[in-house]
Amino acid sequence: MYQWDWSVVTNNWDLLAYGAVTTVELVVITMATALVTGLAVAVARMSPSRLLRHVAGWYTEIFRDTPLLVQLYIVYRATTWSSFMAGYVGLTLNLTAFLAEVYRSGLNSIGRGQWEAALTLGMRPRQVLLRIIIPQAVMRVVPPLGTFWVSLFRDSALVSIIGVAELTHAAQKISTETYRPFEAFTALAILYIVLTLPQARLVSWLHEKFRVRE
Amino acid sequence: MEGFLTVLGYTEFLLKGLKFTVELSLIGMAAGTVVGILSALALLSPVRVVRWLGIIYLDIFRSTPVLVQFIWVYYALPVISGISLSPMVAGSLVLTLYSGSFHTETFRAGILSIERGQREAAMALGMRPRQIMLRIILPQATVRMLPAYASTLVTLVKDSALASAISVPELLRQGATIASYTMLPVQSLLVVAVIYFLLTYPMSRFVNYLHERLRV
Repeated sequence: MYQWDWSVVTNNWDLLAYGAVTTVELVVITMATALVTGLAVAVARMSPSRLLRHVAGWYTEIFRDTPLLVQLYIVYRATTWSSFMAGYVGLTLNLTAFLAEVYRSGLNSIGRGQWEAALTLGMRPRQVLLRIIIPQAVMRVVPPLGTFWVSLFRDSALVSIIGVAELTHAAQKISTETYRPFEAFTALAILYIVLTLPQARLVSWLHEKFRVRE
Repeated sequence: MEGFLTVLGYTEFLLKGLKFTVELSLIGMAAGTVVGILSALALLSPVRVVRWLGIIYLDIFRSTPVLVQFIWVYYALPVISGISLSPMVAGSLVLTLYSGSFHTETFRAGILSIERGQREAAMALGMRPRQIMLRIILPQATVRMLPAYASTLVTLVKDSALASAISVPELLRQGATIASYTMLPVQSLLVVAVIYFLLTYPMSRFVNYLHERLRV
């Protein structure tokens, strides 16, 4: 019978806590950047310039149709950046492509008729955008953005492979130093569940709350 | 450019990697679909314990990173179970359970999306619950589920790359091997990226087509 020894986890608590902080930092700056770059790519896809539309379109296709881990490796090996920097850039490039699609479908979902109706009522284009289109688009964009936030939180574990000292990396370090993979990785899984599950529940609630009835 | 030719000289390595990637994906698709159906049924079950088991399964697999699942099954599971799994078996198992958890949500949402009135009307016509499920609910629900189901399959192919972390010699792992032989990491990885793209791009075009076509 296997003898547990959870002291390897409790003794290295600081390592895990430090890793968790790095995970949160990475995820926050990635999301903050991709919220802006994703919107820029979505706008580029609707631009009157054909070239810009094509470039933005291929960008989203390429980053959505190749594995994130491959993207992270390429950024890491093609540059001389630190692991953290490469992880941040790789995650951001990937998330930008997905968020661009979220924005695009959010904006597209507002029918043309709404524009025309508002213009007929004498509203200026600026007013139409601010009062009619954006409020409705926000309703449709916020829930999927929440979903991507949660999946980013989970996917950020991949940067451990290129050496970023985040949560998963910390557990791997504990495992190799103590020869206790069971305790280290079980604690890791539990930590992720504790950190992610409340966020996932919050996002499900957002989906309910922002449900658009047609 | 010369670098790419050098990398392409290792065609056998790449083909072997491709074979493992395709195998992992196909096993994950088939077995994951079965797991998804079973656990969606569990979530809709009248028995409370069965529903709870379904929820626990979903929560565990949807709130931990896939990478952690790979690592746990390969490194931690053998310690308590005494059974060590080969990388390929561990990899297939994780991809099955992980994609199954996404299918579960898709299937459940699809079934629940069919209006209550349909069930009531069928009951009023004297159909049995089983008949209602098979003839009324499922045919309509299947159509609604298709786009989300297919997009989980695309994700599955991409996630199979993580099996490289537990040393399955799939595409990414083989690319890394070529990189270390040739000292051309960027070219090797770009070749691997192109192969992944060729695999998933047609699939995701098909998903887009389904979304357009089946807009309900």
